[in-house]
Formats: sequence, C-alpha cells, structure tokens
Amino acid sequence: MVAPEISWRLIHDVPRSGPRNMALDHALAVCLPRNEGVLRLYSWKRPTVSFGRNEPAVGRYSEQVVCSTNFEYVRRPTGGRAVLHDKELTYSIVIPLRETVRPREIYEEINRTLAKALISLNAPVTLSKDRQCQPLSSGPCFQSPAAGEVTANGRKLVGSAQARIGGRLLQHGSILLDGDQSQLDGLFGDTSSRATSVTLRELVGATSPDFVARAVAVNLKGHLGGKWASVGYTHEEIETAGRLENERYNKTSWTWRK
Amino acid sequence: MSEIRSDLHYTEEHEYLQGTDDESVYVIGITDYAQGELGDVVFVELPDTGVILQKMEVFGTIEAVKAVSDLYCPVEGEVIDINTDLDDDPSLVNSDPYGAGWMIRLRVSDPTEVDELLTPDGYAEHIG
Repeated sequence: MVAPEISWRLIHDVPRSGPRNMALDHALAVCLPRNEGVLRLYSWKRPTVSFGRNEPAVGRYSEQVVCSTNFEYVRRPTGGRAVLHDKELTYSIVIPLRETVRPREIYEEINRTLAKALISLNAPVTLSKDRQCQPLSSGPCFQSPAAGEVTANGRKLVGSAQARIGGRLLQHGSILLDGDQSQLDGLFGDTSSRATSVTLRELVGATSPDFVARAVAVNLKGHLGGKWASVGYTHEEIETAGRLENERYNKTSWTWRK
Repeated sequence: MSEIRSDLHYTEEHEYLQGTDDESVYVIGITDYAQGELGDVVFVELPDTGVILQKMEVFGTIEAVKAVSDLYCPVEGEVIDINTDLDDDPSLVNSDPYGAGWMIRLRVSDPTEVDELLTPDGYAEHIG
C-alpha cells in the first residue's frame, strides 16, 4: 500500500502524559526521514481528554464539571472530536506523503488492518458504512462512527484521526480496551444513556494492552510490508518533542484555544 | 474528473492563485482536485487581515472529516481580505472551490514570483 522501500520503526512506548504523547506523535511527523515510517503503540499515565485540532471546546465542555474531574486535558494535532483516553491502546502511524499515497485510502486501509487484528482476538468487528458528515461541534468522537471506522453492532471500538504535517501523514487512534466513554458525554452536557461506543472487554473479556499491541503490530507489519526494527526515538525527535510540549501541548492557551 | 481552469496559477500543494483587476492582488484557494481528495470540509482556519506571509509559510488549516492539513502561502505578500463566509459554511470549498470557496486575497510582494508557479498544464501533469 504505502511503498515497499520504506523502513519501519516500531516503538512500543511506556505510558506518558497527554502533552508528552501528543508532542511525541507530532515530533515524529516533523522529524521523520523521507524513506521511513513509524508505528508507535502507547497508553496514557492518567485519564486524559483530548480535543481535536479545530474542535470548539470552550463553552461546550462545562468548565465547572471539567474542574471537578481528575482528567488531564490536551489538544491533538489531528482532526476530529474529543476522546477520553483511559483504558485503551493508542496507535500512531507516521509515513511520508507521496503523490501515490492518498490519506483517505490510508485511513481505510489502516482501519481494515486494525479490524483484522481485532478479529484475530475474536472481536466481531466490521467497518462502518455511515457516510454522514458530522460537524466538529457535534459532541465527543465516540458518539458516532465515521465511514470506515471499526465498530461492533454499530458501536464504535476504534476512533482515529489524521494530520498532514509538512510532507508526512500522521494517523493516530484509540482502541478501547475497557472504561466508559459516556463520562465524556456527561462533560459535554449529554445526559442520555445511549451506548454509542463499545470496549474489547464487552466483546471478548478482559485483555491486556500488551496482548492487543502484539496483535496490532503483527497485522500492521504484515500489511505494510518493508523492513521493521524495534528502535526508540532519535535525539532530534526527543528535542523536537520537548520543544512542542513546552510551546504548545502543555499550554492551557493551546488546549482551550477555542 | 477534476476541473483545472486555464486562467489560474497552481502549486504542487494544490493551491491556486487567481489574478484580479489589481495586478499585485491574487485570490488564493485550494483546487477542485484538492477538495475532492479531502472530502467533506468541516472547518477552515484563516489568518487575520494585515498579516505578512513569507513564501511557503503556513497561512491556515483545513479540516475534512477527521483530517487536518496545513495551507501554504505560495508567494510572499500581505493578507488584505479573508473569506469569512467559510466560518459559517466551510462546505463552500467543496461546492465552489474557484468561486465562493476562495480563502484569502493576497497583495503579492513580488508579482514575478507568481510566474514561477505551475501552469494549468503543469498542474494537470502533477496530479496525473
């Protein structure tokens, strides 16, 4: 799909804070050489709400409720709407953009491969065919699946988003292992009890992040092809992530910019 | 089939420049091909008027379903107007990219820079 000559790096990271996680994903996109790709698998140090790059949050998420929760807040570099990151495995993929690489096709192919990985864990998932376009102000991400997203019985299991940064494409997303996205619905002021998301625990029982990470890595490696190595961050990536964390992702003015 | 207008200048990043009655002022937007590739546009973020943009500086972002992309200014100049209609209806970029979906008006510092951009034939070749 992408390009067979690409060398891939697999980074299975430790849990980190929201600003650090977003800064690292962004830094990978900024620093990645033209012939490399990265798959990063990670989780979060504490429950974190992430807003989409352009999502209106001020005035929509009740400040009073926000202050009373123990969640961390961050704004992503990617599009889409709010996600509560808690008991999940997060993936990010960074690849160089070329004329032959179409972001929407990548989106669908990655989701198809994630579905294959989850089916290998006996989760009965399919890809959503819903083509309805939801506005950015329409509430949390897991309230409605977009076309091509991984669902089970119409309920969303994986939520993903993309950003084109320079000449690279960043796609990251949340695979829900357990937990309750409806806590976020409450922050948004939606008190209905609609079950719009689903977790792996509901589908196949308790799973560990490492177990799911292995299935995701095996399937993505098989699909993306190329040479793979488990190598950490470069010095340049760490430096860039530090700068982005200080100048953007750790700043309230960025998180609550709109 | 994407529309490529013969009276426009183009960039490899899929922006167009359209001349106006004032030879130093150009209207900038994204091409029909670009809007088709992005899909349904849900948000466009533009700069303030009066901002001076350097060549290839990011002047805003555009978000289609789930995907954010930077917008690049292909030549140096001053933003003299922005399309505020896109705040209320960003889908104008999809429905009329060369008309109501325009993004900024730029007073170009050096109009000869515009001649260095892609011709319609060059852009057609670029998108294959």
